[in-house]
Order: sequence, then C-alpha cells, then structure tokens
Amino acid sequence: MRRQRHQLLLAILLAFTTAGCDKQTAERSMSASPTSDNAHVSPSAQDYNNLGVTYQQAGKLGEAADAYRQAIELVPTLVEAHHNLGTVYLIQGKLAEAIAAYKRVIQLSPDMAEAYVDLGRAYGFAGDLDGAIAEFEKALTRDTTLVHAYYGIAVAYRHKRVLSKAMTALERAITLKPDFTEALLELGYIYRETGRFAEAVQAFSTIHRLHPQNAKAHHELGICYTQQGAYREAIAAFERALQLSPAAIETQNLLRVARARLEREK
Amino acid sequence: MHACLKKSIFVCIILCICIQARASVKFVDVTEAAGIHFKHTPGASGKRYMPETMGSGCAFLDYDSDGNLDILFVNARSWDALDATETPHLYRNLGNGQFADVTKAAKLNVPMYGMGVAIADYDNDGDVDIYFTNVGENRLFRNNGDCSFSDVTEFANVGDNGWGTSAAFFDADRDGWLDVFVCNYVEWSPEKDLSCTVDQKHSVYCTPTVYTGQSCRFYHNQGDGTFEDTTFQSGLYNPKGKSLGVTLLDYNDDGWFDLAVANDTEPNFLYRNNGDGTFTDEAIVMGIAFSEAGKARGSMGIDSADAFNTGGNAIAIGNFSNEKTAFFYSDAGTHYFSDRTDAVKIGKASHRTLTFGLLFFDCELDGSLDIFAVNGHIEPEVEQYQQHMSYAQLPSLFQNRGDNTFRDIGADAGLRAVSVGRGCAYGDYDNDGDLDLIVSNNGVNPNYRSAWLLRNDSDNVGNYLRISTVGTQSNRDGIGTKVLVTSGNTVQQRWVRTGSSYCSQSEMPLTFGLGHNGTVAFVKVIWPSGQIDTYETLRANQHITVIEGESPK
Repeated sequence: MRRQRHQLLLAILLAFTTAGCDKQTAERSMSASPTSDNAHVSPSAQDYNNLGVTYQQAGKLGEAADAYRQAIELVPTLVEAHHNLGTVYLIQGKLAEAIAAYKRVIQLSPDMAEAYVDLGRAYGFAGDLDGAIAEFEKALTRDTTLVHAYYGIAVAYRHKRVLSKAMTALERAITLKPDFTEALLELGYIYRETGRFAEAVQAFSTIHRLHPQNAKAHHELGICYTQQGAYREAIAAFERALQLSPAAIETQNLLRVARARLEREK
Repeated sequence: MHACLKKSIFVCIILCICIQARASVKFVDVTEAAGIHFKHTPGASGKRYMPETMGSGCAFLDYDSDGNLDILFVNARSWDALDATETPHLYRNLGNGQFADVTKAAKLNVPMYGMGVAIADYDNDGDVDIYFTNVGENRLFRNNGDCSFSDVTEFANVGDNGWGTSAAFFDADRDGWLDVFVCNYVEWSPEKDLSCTVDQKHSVYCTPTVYTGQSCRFYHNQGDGTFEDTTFQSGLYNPKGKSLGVTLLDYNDDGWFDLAVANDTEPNFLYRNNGDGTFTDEAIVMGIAFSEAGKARGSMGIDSADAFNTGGNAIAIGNFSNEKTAFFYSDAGTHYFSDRTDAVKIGKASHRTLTFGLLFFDCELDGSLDIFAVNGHIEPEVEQYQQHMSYAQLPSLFQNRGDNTFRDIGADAGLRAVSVGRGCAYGDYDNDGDLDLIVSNNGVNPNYRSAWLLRNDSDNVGNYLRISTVGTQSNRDGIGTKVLVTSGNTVQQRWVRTGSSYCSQSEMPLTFGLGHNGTVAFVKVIWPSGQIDTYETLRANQHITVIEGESPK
C-alpha cells in the first residue's frame, strides 16, 4: 500500500521534474556521491533516491527515509541511497540508525572519505568522542584536504577539553580554507576560553572581514571585549550585531551588561 | 635486576598508600531501612496542571533540639481541597538510624499544596520554626517547644497567596531578628491554567513562558512575632522574576547578606543588600543574569560558596536540559562574575540533565567543596518527543578535584538510581561527622521512591570540625555568621545560612573537612552583630558550639 502511494507520488514528481520544476535538485542528488556498483543501478532505484532527495529538501524526512529505503530495497548496493538515508537519520536524531547506514556506505565504498566524516559526526552526536575522532582521522588518511574532518576533530577535542589538539586541528582547517567561518568561530571560542583574548578578537574579526553581514562575529567580539573590560568596544560590537540582527535577544541582553558596566566604571 | 625489583616494589607500596589514602566516596540508600515511607502526592489527574511537576522540597532540622537531625518532606495534595488528606511528613530521628513519623503528634498533619520549606528560629526562643511555601497561602508553624507546632500564619502576617517556591530566613538589617525572603513563581491557578502541546495532539506541562511572573516577597521581622511585608519599600518588588531558588551570600564582602535568585526563563537576580533596609538588583552588571552567550536560562536550584578556598564566590545554578548547570565565579576582590561552567568541567556532564536542587558540600571531608545535584525532567512523556532525553534521571555528584575542576563521580559513588529529583539537602543525621543527603522526588512511581535518605558511607574520609552557632546579640541561630577555619595551608570560609538548593534546606551547623590535618590552627567567627570570636588549636573530629561573645579571652 505504502509502495503504491510512493509510486503515485513518484509519477507526479517525475512529471514536475521533467517540466524543470525540481530537476536541478534531483540531478544534484543523483551526482552527490559515487556509487560502487553503478552498473547494477536500476533507473527505478535511482528515481526513488531522487524522490528521497526532493522530500528531504522539502523537510519531509519520514517520506525521504521511506524513499531511500525503497531505493535500497531495489538495489542494496546503491551507495548514495545509504548515504542519504544516514543523513536523514542523523537529522532525525536516530543516531544508531545513522551510524549503521554510514558503516554500510563505508563497507560498499571504503575509499569514500566523506563517509568517514559523516560517521564521525554521528559518533560525535552520540557522545562517542573517541569514536568520532578515529573516523575523522580515517577520513584524513584518504584525503588530507578534508577541512570538515579537521573541524570535526577540533569539535570533539574541545568537548573532551583537550584544547591544544582542538586548536591544532582548527588551525590546519583554516590554513586549507581561510574563509571557513565555523572553524574561525570555534577557534575564537577556544582562544576566549583560554584567556587569549587578543587572538580571539583576531579570529572573530577575520569572520567580520570575510563576511561583514555576519552578526554572530560581532556578537562574539562583543563578548570578548566585555571579558577584557573594554566596554566601549563591546557596546560598539553588540550594536553592530543588532543592526544586522535586531531581534537577537541574547545580544540585547549582553549589550545591557556592557552598558551597565561602562556606567559603573564611570 | 635486583635493584629494579626493589624499586618496583617500593613504587607499588607508595602507589598502594596513595590509593588507600584517597577517599572512596559512597552513598547508600537507607530510606526504607530507616523507616521513611514518604509518598509525594502531586495531585496529577491528567489535566497537566503546572504545579504537579514542580514539587516538592525537603529539609534537615532538629525540631526537638535533641542533637539528632530530623527530616521533613513537603507534600502537595489533590486539587480538590475537600478531598485532600495528604500532608507534609516529619520524621523524628530516634538516634539509632531509625526514624518515626511524628507528623500528627507535631500537629503538622495539615494539607497544603506544598512546594518548599525554610527552617529557622524566627522568634529567638531556642527552637526551630517552619515556614512552608505553597501554591496558595504560605504557612508559618511556630515551634511550641513541646515537640509540636502551631500555625501562626495569620498572626505573623506571612501568608502570601502566590505560588511560593524557595524561601530563606536571614537578618537583612542586622537587628537581631530573622526576616524572610520568599520566591514566587508565576500567576497560575486552576482557573488560569493554559493548555500546552508539542504536537497539537497531546497535552504537556507548560513552561513558564506562557504565564506572567509573580514578584518575590520580603517580610521584615518586627520582633514581636509579626512580620511586615516590605517588598516594595525594600526594592525587592519585581514581577518579572519567575523565581524558583534563592541563596544567601556576601558577594561584595561588605558584611551584609545579599541574595542571588534563580529565575526560570528570565534573567536571574542578584540583590545587593544596601545595609539600610533596601536592596538593588545588580545581576546584569555583575554577570549572573544571563549565560555567557546572553541567554536567560530555565534556572531552578541555586547555591553559593567559596568553592576553591580562595576567598572568591561561586554561584551554581541548576538549569533546564540542554542548558548546562551554570557555574558563575568571581575571584576574591573582583566582584564581577564570569560563567566558568565549561572551564570547571561541569558543562558537558550537565548538558542533558534537567537540574532542580543542587548544593555545595564536602562529601569526603578533604576541604574542597563538591556539588550534589538532583535531576529529572518536567514532562513524563518527554521520551516520546525528544531523543536521548529521559523523565527520570540520575543525580550528579561533581567531585572537586582540587585543581579548580569537577568530575561527576555519581555512579562510582553508588548513585545509580534514577528519579525525578526536585529537592535535596545535606546534614549529618547519624552524627558520624560526614554529610548525608536527603532527596525529594516528584510523584509516586514504581521505579523510584518519593524520598531518599542517602547515608554517606565513604571510606578514608578526612578529619572534620563541625561548628554550631548560638547568637546572643545576633539572631539566636547565628544566621549570617561568617566562620573562617585555618588548617594546614588552607583557609575555609562558610556562612551559617538557610535557603539554597530548590525548595529545601540543609542543616545549619557548618562542616569543615580537614583532610589529613589533625588540628585546626585558628577559627574566626564573625557574627552579624559585628562581634568577632576566635578560637585556637582545636582538635579535629569534634562538633563544637560557639556562643556569641564567649570565646576564650
């Protein structure tokens, strides 16, 4: 019954994609990751995979997972369907299922470095930080330029409070990708946590330089300045953040703190 | 070869000595064996009334002044007042590890929708009185001195009709009489109840964001058995609070007790005592109103202490799940607090827990204050809505590592049972020198009891000095007294207090862990009156009572 419903939806979807409605999405999904056994991929399985991608992009995760599972049922070796299914599980918070899906991807395509990164992320979400680091490192043995693997290692080490290793990984990621905003943010947090405020300011300022409209960078800069007792600079940073994101209650709160302290210091 | 072997044996012996010397922290649940069979009755009937999931508290007290700590569990009741038979329960310590339920004899068999409790000798007559905070009218029970209590709420004028939560007695103006600060939560009644859902199908307990806040209350003790509500005059009126916890501290080291108040989804308060009967909220400027990122969190229980024996102030606050327990710290001499939750390593361990009661205490008497916290979600069916979240949760025991960090040793210490924890308190009920715990859990559940008495059975604990205070010019309990104990290279400072935790109260005597030190070099007692008493060269492992103005000349 469920399969019939999907086939109906598939027919409708195919009509749309043929008309160009969501064709780009489907094409992107089809070429998202390599398959280990493309020769055996039946069009029907690929279509289910594409349907899953479309559902996923529409936020319909349950339907997306159903579609991916049907693709896998038709072609159990369809790597991208396993990979996409793992991603849906990860978004849904079904971590055990996500880990199983990514492991299957790696089994089918052992050299697919990105799969190790995703498996590492799943382990990280599940709280297995050592497992996460191991997978990120496996990814790097296959591709030393994978910035998200360095980033994952950094986040895991930060959670383990091994800050020196986290910093090393972040610095490597930023060397490879100087405009890597998330890594710059993480590096800024660690510098700030360890009292290296000047370097934290530098990291957040770099984000500001690269992305002037990034309110987060101004917000974080404001926190740094507050912690250094530089309340005028903090107020300026929070005000800039609020110009970009006026409804940010947290920034409004911290602006009140900085203003109150400046008033106290007068 | 032979030398190596000898060296190995020597290292092994040294290691064995070190391992033996370190305390093995262990708590044993002796609730049933001790004769405590309390059942918490939140009155839950499927309507998802918000108070049902919020209570209740507990307390250690010595109501009959026999030197043995008794136990009080606050109880709620069914919503139909006519049908209500549930009452708080008072358990008398028989001195042999057993407790007897003396609720009726003590005349405390009074149904109330109880939330919290504060214990103190408000009339300075030498025995402790009990203040219950309720959903509806709070109640003050005066100790008759004959092991029974009388309800004096109306005469004393302290029957606030809001949703009371935590409360604390302290002498705000240092006139020798204890005043009382009462936290209030939100404007709620069965008639005003709102329906909340996460999936448009099933009702869940609402969060406080849907209700208007209710101002805390401050009652000034007039010394004649009555109080005056001076909330407005004292500057403590603020209906934005949604307050659940209060701790007494002197964060600016001016000798006057200040108040830190934990607020649920609203900025916390930090009321500076101006010394003239008024208070000023400095939470924003001092840095405890929000998280480091500027977020007002769902704050419940709260406690404060000089956690690292440096003269600084730590404020720990139990927060909602995914918000981490907060650890604010100000170094000695610098009055701004900073959020050091991650730096002291309690952030990760407390990220998923929903913490209500929490307190600083020294579980192994090594002189370093540890943190005990009780956890439990507000929504019984949270597992259906949120992955990796549970309704009943394990308690946490964050052991102070002595290097300005903590580590959760709860499971290793025998705290392996989950519950829906709300209140907690510490006290030495078996008079063996170490601190035991009581926990009040929400509701009755086949998987956990409503009450826990956790006896401290740790091995190799340190030496101790316990100090009780008796005020003569100051209030009789000596609440507000600062005691500094010097042993070895460490100076520990503590205050005689009420309040802290969540809706609960710990014992008032102070316990100083001394580690291996067999003597205390110096004790300095600074009373609220300004009187300073000093004592020198006291032996360890005793409980002394210091009387204001009677130290050796």
